[in-house]
Amino acid sequence: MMLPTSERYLGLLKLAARNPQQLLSPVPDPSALNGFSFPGISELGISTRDAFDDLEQLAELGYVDRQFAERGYFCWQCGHHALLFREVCPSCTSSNVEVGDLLHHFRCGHTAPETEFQDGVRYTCRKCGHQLRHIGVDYERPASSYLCGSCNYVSTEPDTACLCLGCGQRFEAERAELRTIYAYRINARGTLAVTRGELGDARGAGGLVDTEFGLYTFTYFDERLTQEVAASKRYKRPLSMMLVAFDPAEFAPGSQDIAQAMRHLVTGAKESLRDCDCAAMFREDCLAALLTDTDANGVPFALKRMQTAIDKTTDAAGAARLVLQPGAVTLDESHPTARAFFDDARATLHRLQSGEPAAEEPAPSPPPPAAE
Amino acid sequence: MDTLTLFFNFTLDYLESAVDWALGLNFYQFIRVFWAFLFLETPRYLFANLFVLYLWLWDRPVIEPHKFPVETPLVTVVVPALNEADTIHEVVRSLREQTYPNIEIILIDDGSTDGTGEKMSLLAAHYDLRVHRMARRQGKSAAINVGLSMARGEFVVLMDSDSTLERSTVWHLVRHFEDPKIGAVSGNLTVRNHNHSVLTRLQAIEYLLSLSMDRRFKAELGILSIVPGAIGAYRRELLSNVGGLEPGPGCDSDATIRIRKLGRQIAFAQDAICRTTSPTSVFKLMKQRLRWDRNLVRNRARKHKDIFYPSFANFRLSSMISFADAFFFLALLPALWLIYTVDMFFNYPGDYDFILLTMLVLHYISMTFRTLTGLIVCQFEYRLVPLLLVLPIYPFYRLFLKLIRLTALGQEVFFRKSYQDPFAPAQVRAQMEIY
Repeated sequence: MMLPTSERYLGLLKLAARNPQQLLSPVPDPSALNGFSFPGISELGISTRDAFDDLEQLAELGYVDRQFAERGYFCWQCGHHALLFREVCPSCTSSNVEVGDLLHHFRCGHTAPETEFQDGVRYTCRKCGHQLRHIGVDYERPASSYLCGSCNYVSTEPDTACLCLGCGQRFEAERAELRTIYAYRINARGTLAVTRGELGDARGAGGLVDTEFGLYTFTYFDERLTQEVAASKRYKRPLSMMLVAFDPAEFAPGSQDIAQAMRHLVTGAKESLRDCDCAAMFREDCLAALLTDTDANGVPFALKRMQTAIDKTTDAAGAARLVLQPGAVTLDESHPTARAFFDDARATLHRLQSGEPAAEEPAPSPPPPAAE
Repeated sequence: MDTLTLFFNFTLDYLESAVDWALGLNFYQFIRVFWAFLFLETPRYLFANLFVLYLWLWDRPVIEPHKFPVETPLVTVVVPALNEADTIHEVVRSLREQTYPNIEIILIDDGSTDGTGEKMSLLAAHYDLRVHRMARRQGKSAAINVGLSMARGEFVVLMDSDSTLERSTVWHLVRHFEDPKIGAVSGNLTVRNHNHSVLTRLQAIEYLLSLSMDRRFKAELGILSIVPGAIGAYRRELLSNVGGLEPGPGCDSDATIRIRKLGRQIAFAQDAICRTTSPTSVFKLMKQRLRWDRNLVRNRARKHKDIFYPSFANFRLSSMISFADAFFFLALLPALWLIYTVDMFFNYPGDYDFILLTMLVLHYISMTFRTLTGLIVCQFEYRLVPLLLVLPIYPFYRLFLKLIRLTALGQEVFFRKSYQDPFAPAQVRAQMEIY
């Protein structure tokens, strides 16, 4: 059954988001029309051909970014990747051509392909019956030639033609279509769509404020992240980020309104942030907070403030206290781009959630910073 | 017109007088006057030609097979080159045309200064061949020995870098090794540039008669003792066992003699045609022949004189006859001709011009017969038929060669001139063992 377009799009975006590199890379697949497919596509119930079309559409809409993967020639008619490039006779277009040297027999002037002279291991002239014995004395090889086995046409240069193994079409090599195969990387807008579970943007993916949580939109967050990383690098200002995942079910066990529970938690957490910080929902369950002018020593303080605020929220709701385990990172030289910085935070969060040990403990910080 | 008539009448009268003189000789006088023609080289050469003709008639030449057997041992062709940038490509081309299917080509640049080495590298990039470049000239023997050490073939073909081979040459050389007694095989040299001048045409006739027909004759008698450096094949192990080639001119004949000393035979492959470039000027020809002829003294009379000693461990009668034959034809004969000339000049001063004229006619008849025999036996040389036109002056060419030979022998006997020959580089000449 054909999935609705929006579901296919979302499925592809989720598939991309699941990938550690957030990338959908094509892998060789001889059975696919263009010779490539995406791993995991079959689970979505999407054909490879549709996947390429959909991803192109998503790239046009701005949810994913293209990355070069491969380039090659495809059938101009059916788009199939399996093309046989063949040397063909210019006269009859048969591929039954063989390359060989032309021999010129000095004695009688007979000039013909080498195969015509071959008499076992000897060369014998078919015209005068004499044997060709010494190159440069009896005979010469003036040029290479192509002999057509179908029509005996002799040419110095054959034509090149294609045979499509998909549709059987034969055509000149010039007509083969040069096409680029791309990998697709999900971008901020795509991530937001995955977070929200829809492509449409009720809270305004391109806007400033996420009205549901009273936070910035992730689109804005992404822009701001890029700016702050650039500014921090230029002016040597510290910059940190926290990704805090909430489990609303833990906060309100058995509650039917998970969204309401989530709003409570996020509102509580938001209270702990400074005015200069920037926060947005990264996924349905994850808050991303950009802590400007905060170095590694300041992050525990920010976390402590947030933990206190969450405790107040849980206490007020009479719920069990939650222990926050944010993925926190501080910008350093290992983060050449904002994307790398964000990915590092995501990876840290992922490690914490999966119970893996931290890659590296933060350095001890004797003097507490005067962060607000 | 009157002058022409007078000259014509004079010539006719003169020839009539010469014929009358010749026919007027009785049997004893005829033998006395033409003893050199009747008893020196003519019978030997005529007999050799008739013998080869007989072989050709009754022992048909081996024709190259239509297809080769699956097992064809690897043959390594070693081509040493010194300043042969213009010809090395032609050599490689002719080697790549060989019908023998299992050939390894090794080119050795002996420190060339004309870009031969670069051309070899270029050829190696296009064709399946191996190249070794000497940083400095070491001499032909060293270059060949390097090639020999690189060779992987069971048999090694050595050839000059100014020569080219017919398509079947390697096969015709190698097929002789089916006989385990054969240690080396001589190829058949012909002149590549015979149309260049009268001198090269004369050399073409000489190659046909002396290098082709005569070597076939000697090989059949088992007294062939030379494999030319321009084209020859050896069992690689055997050539390595005799230490490869030794420095200096005549290194090819020296190696062949050493192989003979080991009890092996030397075969002659008449159909293994190699076309070589002959000298185009008298000066170059003189230099070449002086070098060749000095080897008679250097190698046969001195270095390998033990061939004549019955006490020699590997003494063979055929080797001794081979040497004796060489001494007779290369040393004694020119001297006898000189004696004959003096004999006639002083004893028959009045008839000297008639003797000379009659000798020329007799030689012309003999040479025409021999050349025709050669052309019949060596079918490949039909194109040389027009060379019969230069036969009238061939006796003078032979006389010229005899004088060169006598000079060379004198130079070597008294001055060991071959040890000063720039054929080997100076640093090698300084260290060569002198015999």
